[in-house]
Amino acid sequence: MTLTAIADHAFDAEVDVRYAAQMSSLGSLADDVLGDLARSRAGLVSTSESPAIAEALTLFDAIAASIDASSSLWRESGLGDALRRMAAAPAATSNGSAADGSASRLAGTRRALASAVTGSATEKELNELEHFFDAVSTATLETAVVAMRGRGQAKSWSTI
Amino acid sequence: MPSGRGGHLATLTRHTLERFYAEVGLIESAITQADSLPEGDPKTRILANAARKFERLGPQLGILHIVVSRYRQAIDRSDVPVGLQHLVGVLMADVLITPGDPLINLDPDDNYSTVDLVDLLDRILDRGLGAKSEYTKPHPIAFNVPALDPANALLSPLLAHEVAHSAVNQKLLAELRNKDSGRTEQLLLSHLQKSGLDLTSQAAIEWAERFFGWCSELLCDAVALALCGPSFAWAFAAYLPPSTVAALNTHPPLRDRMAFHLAGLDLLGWTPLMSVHSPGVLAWMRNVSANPALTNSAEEAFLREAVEQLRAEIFQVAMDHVSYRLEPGDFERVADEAIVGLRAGIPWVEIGDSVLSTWQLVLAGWCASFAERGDAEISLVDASNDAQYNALLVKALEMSSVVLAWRGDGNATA
Repeated sequence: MTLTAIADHAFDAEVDVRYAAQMSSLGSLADDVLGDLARSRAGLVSTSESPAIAEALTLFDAIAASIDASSSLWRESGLGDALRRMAAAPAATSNGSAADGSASRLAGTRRALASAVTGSATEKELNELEHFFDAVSTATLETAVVAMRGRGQAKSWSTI
Repeated sequence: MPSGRGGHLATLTRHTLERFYAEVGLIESAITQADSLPEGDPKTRILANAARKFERLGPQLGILHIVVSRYRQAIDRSDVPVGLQHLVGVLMADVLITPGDPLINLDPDDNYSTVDLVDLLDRILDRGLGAKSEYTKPHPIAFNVPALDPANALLSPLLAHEVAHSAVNQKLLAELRNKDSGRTEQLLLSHLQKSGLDLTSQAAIEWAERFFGWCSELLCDAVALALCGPSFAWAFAAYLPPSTVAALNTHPPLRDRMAFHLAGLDLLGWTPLMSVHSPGVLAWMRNVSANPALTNSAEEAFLREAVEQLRAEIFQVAMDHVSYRLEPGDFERVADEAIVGLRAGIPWVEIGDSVLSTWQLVLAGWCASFAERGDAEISLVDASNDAQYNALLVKALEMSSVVLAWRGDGNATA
């Protein structure tokens, strides 16, 4: 934390690291879900036995419960918010309808997770989960790599 | 290394590395399991997933590397005055809820700020649900202070605001929410309706998140005011001169905060003392804070009204949290002698039977600087930039800690 938002933006080292840590956390969850989905397709484990899929469903339940602004008044922005923003990003607009485009996508993923937790997910739902979490995994890894790129290394000819 | 000199950073680093080793073990198990499968799509998927997890460990280890490389020199450091170390110790004891281990970091740019490194490192390998940390030792808390001016005693109240963030996140915001009883939500709804928005819009979420930021900052300011009295408001005005630029961001505008500081100091009973020691500076602060730079946006109207209706509760929550509030009456009993001593360049800390506390000394330092330099806003900046004078104050803080430790051992009479 800093005294002013000016400092928050001007001195980005800590901000970048915090953001990278948050993205890593979200990405690790996505990787675990994808790993368990792959093992379930290999017949090694049932999706109903996957702690990662159960955790993901809990996260989506939390997102569903905090879908309006009143829940943001008294808590720090968390992983659910980051995930919601990621889902909303392509459709973001400035007139307040940014969340609308992603809402059905998040609801669909939540339904698919709920089916997977009970071991009753259809092929279409499994595909949907793989598609969604692969996108999260890729995006979070890219973000973390960009945020951490060049740390501790020379950044231009003048520093070599 | 004993707690109190940053040695717990090593403990936390080992704890984090063990989590990395466990992660690698899990990935290797997945690969071994995949090796037993026939060639085909499932095996390829599992191995690709393992490769992705290995790749993710790179930036994750990078975060740990940054933390260790940035703060390692702050462990057991002996190049900052004892007075500053004592002050940080007092702050941690008075404000933090969970035990902490301070790292005084001389930082070229990220100051003043504090970071709970457990909070940061726990996020690296978490799976998203914010599970309670398994780390149970004292949290290494980084105090980022100006690299070229780490022991600026007059600006040290700024650290009180920073340390308060930890307590605010852990407890005080929840207490404020209980006192709010849904009023802010009603206000938000009412302002959104005026703008043709509803609670589910992205703009509404941004308004709410900004309200969260404003409340957090004002709670921290209130804690610092309760601990340090007028010193915090003067340090704040010296370090962050009140801007005339109208803008909305995660922190309330500087002039609004100055108004908040004056209201809090009045509530705490400090106005008479400020009228005696710095009537000119007080008049300047009242004038500046009464003329905020406005954006005239709907969001600004909501934010201002929301924090205004919670102002009394913010101060109440902060005052209830601070165990050793600086009291005007206590300070007035020792102020004259302390100020005379400091103006003479003598770090007096024993007055009668009393030992000047950390924040009494800093406040006496400010009052003495007004007496010496004149009662004008320029003295705020001049005094805080006076390295020699700040060194005297830090020496006084050191002497105070020595006397208190001596008396604590029973080797001195009260």
